[in-house]
Amino acid sequence: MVIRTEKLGDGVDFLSIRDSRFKTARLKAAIFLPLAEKTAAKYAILPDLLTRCCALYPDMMQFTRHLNRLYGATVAGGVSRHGEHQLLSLSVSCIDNRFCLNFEDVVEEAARLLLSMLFCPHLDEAGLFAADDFEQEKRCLCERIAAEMNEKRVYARRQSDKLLANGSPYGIPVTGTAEAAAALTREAATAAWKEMLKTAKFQFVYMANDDGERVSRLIEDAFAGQKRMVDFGKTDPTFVPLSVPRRKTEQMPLKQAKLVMGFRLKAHEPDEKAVATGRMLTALFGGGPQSLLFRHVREEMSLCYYCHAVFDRHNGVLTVDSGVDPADTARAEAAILHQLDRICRGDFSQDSFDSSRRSLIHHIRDYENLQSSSIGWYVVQSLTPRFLSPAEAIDRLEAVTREDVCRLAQTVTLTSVYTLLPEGGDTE
Amino acid sequence: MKWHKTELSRTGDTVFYGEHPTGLPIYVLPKSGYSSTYAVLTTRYGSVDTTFSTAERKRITVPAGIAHYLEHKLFENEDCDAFERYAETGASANAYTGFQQTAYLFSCTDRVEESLRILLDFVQNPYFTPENVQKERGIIGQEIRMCEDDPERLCMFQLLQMLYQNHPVRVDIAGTVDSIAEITPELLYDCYRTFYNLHNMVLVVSGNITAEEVERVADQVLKPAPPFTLDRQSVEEPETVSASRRETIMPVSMPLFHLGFKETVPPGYLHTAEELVAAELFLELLIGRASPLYSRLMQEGLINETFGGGYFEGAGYSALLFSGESRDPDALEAALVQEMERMRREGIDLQRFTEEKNAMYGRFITGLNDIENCADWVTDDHFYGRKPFSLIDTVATLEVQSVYTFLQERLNIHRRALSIVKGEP
Repeated sequence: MVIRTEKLGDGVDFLSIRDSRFKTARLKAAIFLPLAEKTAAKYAILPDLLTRCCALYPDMMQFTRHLNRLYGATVAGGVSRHGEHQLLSLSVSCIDNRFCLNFEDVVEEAARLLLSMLFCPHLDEAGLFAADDFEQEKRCLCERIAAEMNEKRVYARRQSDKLLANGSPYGIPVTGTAEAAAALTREAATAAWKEMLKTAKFQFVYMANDDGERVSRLIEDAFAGQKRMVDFGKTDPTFVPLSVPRRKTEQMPLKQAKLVMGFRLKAHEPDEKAVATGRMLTALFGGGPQSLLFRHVREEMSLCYYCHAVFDRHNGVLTVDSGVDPADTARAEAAILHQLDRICRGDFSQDSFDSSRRSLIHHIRDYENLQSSSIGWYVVQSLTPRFLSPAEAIDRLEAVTREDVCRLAQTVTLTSVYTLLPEGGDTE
Repeated sequence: MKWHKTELSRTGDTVFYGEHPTGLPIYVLPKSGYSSTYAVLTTRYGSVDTTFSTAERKRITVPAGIAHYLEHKLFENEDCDAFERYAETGASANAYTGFQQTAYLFSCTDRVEESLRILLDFVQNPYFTPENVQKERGIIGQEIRMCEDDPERLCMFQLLQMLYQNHPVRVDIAGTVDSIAEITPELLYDCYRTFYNLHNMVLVVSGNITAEEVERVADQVLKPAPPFTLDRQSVEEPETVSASRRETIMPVSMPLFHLGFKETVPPGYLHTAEELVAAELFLELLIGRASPLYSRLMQEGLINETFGGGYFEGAGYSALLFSGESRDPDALEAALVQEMERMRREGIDLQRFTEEKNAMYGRFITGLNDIENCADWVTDDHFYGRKPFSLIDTVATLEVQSVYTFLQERLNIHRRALSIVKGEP
């Protein structure tokens, strides 16, 4: 595996990973913009608009038929949160040329297509996104936002995030609010697309069985005519201090209660040592079957099917979520806090600590076995001062001590408790 | 143990196959340059196996959800549980139960032989007591409650209950809180002894591993299995559906639907590779993003990005399924039926058939990147009696006539049902 980075312009970076193991080539454009209430919906609709068609193949049918001719090449768009940024992504994947039945060059064509999607979308005569495309994608965005309540675990996590944010950008939904999505216009979406090309930070990551030279030249040419004024905001998370945890309880006609607890901790990017310690803490606390939450809250107490901790290293947030019997929510909350307290006091076995590290190391090594996760590994580091390789990240983990984890655990503050109860229960 | 080596002519991938002297069929897929190894040990036993003769020739009917319960309990041996043992090797382990199979798996980047030893050992050593069976009831009870709150899953099983009148595929894999209350250690042992016979199982290992390494561990850990005979009850399933439409109210933002077209299949019948690929290609031609129907439904606001279809099939059952969110599932059903009828009258666009074939070929090639996908794929191939990865050749050589046969002879437009979950009016 050979990695090469190249600066292609103001805020336009390219990273290529040459790897002959895979039968496909993949190119991803990761686009970073400040996450703000007034722009979130305008940017969130762009990946959908840009991946449904382009000027060259101006409707979904023609566009998809072209992809099918490229041996089922796939394009995907997405929007996610990255610290206090909105991360838009466009990607294309296709089989490597050596597997084409008729010796076609599908890899270069796929890269060209991604750039066409980005720079030459299907616009009407007035230079706006075509009305049909826009109306369909706007409806889909509105329906997607509304559908968040269908999956109760996801819904509860979202409510917990809002509670924890306490007014900071962490609480802004990456798709924008339902009201903002409903108010979108073609003019606003088109202007947001132009603003994105001008001000966003672009990180391209390419992984294939070649050196990426042809693809980087295509990207460089595509940006050559662009006037860029990059402004991608600040990278440190905003903390709004709280003296007591914020609590909220809602009710719905359900069978199971959802309990989500949000914590702040003093570990976030770009502090490599703190992030490694945060990962170890999370793995030990609730990161898998070796963790204290799994062993004690699930297996010993039989309180739940899942009780899981995740660490958002860009925001310094640790979230625990669980599905429990409505009568057991207080017991579950106490049991979760008890396990955290044990870590603060160093009351955990060396076996638990070592197995947590082994589990994390396995997951990091495993990243390299899929193109999508290899690319993701680098995309999430786009705003840090340098790229840490998986081997370097493992070195950082190897250096974390029990004392480091205890010290970090002592900085962990319970910030929010969100409970979703079946109707008929008590609410606070 | 004798290994048979096969090389895929189109991609150069290698597959080793051998039958271990204990009776276990084993496949090994070495993948050069990969740091991970993935292993999956699967028994041909799932939630549909509800009535059968046990290894002791006793005919029993077991409570719904027992295959899944057994999967949970197998992780616990007499001295410690399998997760604790895996924690020592750093492997990531899991298991799942389906309609027809139960699978135990792990992936690891270190200490592969130790992890494989744990897998083969714990699956061969059940330990069920009244206390540990009782303890699991709380955990699985919460898993069932979680499923009951899942509108997507509820919508799916509501459809299967309309499509199937007798076949146990109509029952939720996890069972119910009431049905799992009937599960005892004795029943778990009955199921275990009947289905967890190495002759009824398959091991597939892919990634950073050799056939010799797998064989070494198998020799150390596997115990000879007694001869395997199984009398699964054949279910007489009527050709018709029991109801054509059903609605349930749940807290959802817009209606969810599952629509199914039931196919007539003889008891126990498994589709051939050609039949499977033809059905999948038909689906792409009908509702793929390159189809005229998909664009029209999007324009009319009847579907969104959640819309999709799939060919749902197993031993003795198959159906064409569609699902997603729609503000008007009835109008969507009418549009799908109308398009199927049009295709029957007017035939299939040959240019699009070739393009969709190309695309499916590309998706299969892409699937070979992923060692987990490869192992799961070979597991299916084994249980369906196919050569590993032979679907790639099937799609490359498929003629349009096979899709016509599906459309004209296998698909019955009238035997259908629509399941809807929607919010309070």
